[in-house]
Amino acid sequence: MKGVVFNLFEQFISENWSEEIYEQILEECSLETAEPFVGPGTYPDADFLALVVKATETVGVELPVAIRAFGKFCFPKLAEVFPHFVQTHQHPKDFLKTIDSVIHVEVRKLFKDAETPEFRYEDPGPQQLVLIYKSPRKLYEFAEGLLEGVGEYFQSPIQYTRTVRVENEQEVAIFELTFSEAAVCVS
Amino acid sequence: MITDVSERKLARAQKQVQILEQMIEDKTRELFITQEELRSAKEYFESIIRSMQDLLIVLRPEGTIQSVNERAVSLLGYQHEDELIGQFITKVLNDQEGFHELFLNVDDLEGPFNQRESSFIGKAGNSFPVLLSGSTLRDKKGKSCGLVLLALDIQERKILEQQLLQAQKMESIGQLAAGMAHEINTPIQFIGDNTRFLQEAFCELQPVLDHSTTLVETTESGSISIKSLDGIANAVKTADLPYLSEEIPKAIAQTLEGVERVSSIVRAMKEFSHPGVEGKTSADINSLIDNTIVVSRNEWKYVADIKTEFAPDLPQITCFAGQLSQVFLNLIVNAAHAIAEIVEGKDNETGTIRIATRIDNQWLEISVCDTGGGIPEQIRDKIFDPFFTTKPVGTGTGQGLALVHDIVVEKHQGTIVVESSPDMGTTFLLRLPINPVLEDSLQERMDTQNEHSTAHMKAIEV
Ligand code: HEM
Repeated sequence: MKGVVFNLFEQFISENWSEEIYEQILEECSLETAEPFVGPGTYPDADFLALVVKATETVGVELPVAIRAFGKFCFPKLAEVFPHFVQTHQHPKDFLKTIDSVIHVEVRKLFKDAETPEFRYEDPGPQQLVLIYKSPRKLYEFAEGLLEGVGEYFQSPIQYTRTVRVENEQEVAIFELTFSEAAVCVS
Repeated sequence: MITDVSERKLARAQKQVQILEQMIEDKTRELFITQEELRSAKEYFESIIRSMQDLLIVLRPEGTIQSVNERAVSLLGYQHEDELIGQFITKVLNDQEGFHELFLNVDDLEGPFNQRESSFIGKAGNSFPVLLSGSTLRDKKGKSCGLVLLALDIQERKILEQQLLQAQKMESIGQLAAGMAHEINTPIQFIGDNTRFLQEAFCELQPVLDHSTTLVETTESGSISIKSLDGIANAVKTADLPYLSEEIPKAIAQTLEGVERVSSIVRAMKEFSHPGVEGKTSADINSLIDNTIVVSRNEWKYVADIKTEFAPDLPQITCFAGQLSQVFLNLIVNAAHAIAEIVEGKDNETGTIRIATRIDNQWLEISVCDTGGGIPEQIRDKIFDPFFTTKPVGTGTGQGLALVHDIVVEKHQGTIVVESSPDMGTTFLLRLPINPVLEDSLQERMDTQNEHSTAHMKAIEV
């Protein structure tokens, strides 16, 4: 996992709880990584999981809830760092369709060793979008949190359902999204 | 509870700065090394291109030169690539037809454009032959963004080819020589017989002349003797003057005719062999065919008659006359062989070889038709392959029709159509362009070409 995500997590805890709590979580975790995380660095997924698990224990929130909240927290931050990915779109649907073909591609160019998930799309109707997510990390709640963040960012709430199925011996999550009528889709 | 939060955060931030600086340093080094590698890879590829013995020219889609290698620059006689970059390719490519083929089809040029005989024009206006290959340059999305031309300088090869053609001609002259000797022998023999007859006749006339001289002398001295008159009368009687005055003119006429035949054979041979003429010259196809018929007479006269139907108004065409004579020879000899196969063993039976010329639009058409047994269906598409032969080992090299194809199609931009059936024999229809290719006439030619091929659905186009 890239250092950016670790740093966002530090911000997430510090802003929602406190800096002290983050220091405490950090102190109590036994991580593989000794030095502080920096954005472009790449660190073990296990370190990230250890931090998140310790955080849920410390603040008393359920793991899925915590991860979803973290996802929702991340989106506006990412959008702030990479405004051009977001600003070119009016509607969350148009924007979401660019994750796999544009955004994550750029991310992989920018961050060496980035391992972004794979997204496929189905477009059943104007206010709908099916997102098929595939990643060995299976960060479904993180994705959901990001989707919520996207809805909020575009001021057009997104409703979603998630079903999981196995494709070529690998688990994939299918997010069926419904956009609010208010938003006008340009695509 | 942790109290020194700010301190720890500060310490962490300092460490982060350190790590990031280190990362930047590493990245900078990596970048430097990559650039070095790129530079040396670029030099490596450039040196390969520089050391290439072939001409490499990269074109933009609209046909202007984007880059050229050193070999191309120097072979074309320029000092610097800048003299060529940005120029339209037609400045150096002397190949209208190839040019059309290349550029009209850049987008759907599927496979590469392979080894076409073309020629380039050097700075000094000199033209030199090349084997041209081209392939479309495509960008990442597969869109054509240019053309890569690779040309092999074949000046040396052309000279060798020329020598080979000459050698092949000498070889066929060698083969014809025995027949020619025979052809010359017959008139020489009756020239000899007639001359010997004239010699004897002169001996017989000598006494008449002697007596006449004596008579003239005695008449001048004023006395005509009966004796000298008797002498003449006797000499005239012995000499059989009426017979001689009928036969001598005949013998002279026959001798002259023989001399004419020999000299026409020699003339035909001389013209057939065309020594020393290498480039294209203006030639009369009818007389080339006539000469070839004369020199090859011994090859066909036992099995066939040749009938010619020549268009009287054929224009002279610019061609490699010697090479075309070779084509006609090969076709006549083939026709004779085809006829020989079916008349063999049948007394007094002969076939016919019909040779006709005519004008069809932009084309000069030559047909050579035989009454032989036709070309079996299964080998029809092989007949123009080099080394393909149906003749027994040792009698044919299999180069005959391959050479015909090369000379007509490659050297003269002509076409060959073959029609053949067991009862109709075989017809070779050659078409030669009357005018060297001009840009405008190209399309027209393509069109008539298409009509022509549809008219011969059953024929094989080559
Ligand atoms: C401006 C927009 C975005 C940026 C710059 C961005 C960037 C990134 C980065 C840097 C990572 C970490 C990769 C790694 O650590 O190897 C990541 C992972 C991820 N991204 Fe995005 N992302 C964006 C939008 C989204 C959106 C809208 C979704 C929607 C569902 C999404 C789904 C994910 C998920 C699920 C992961 C976790 C890695 C995994 O599942 O394997 N991203 N993204």
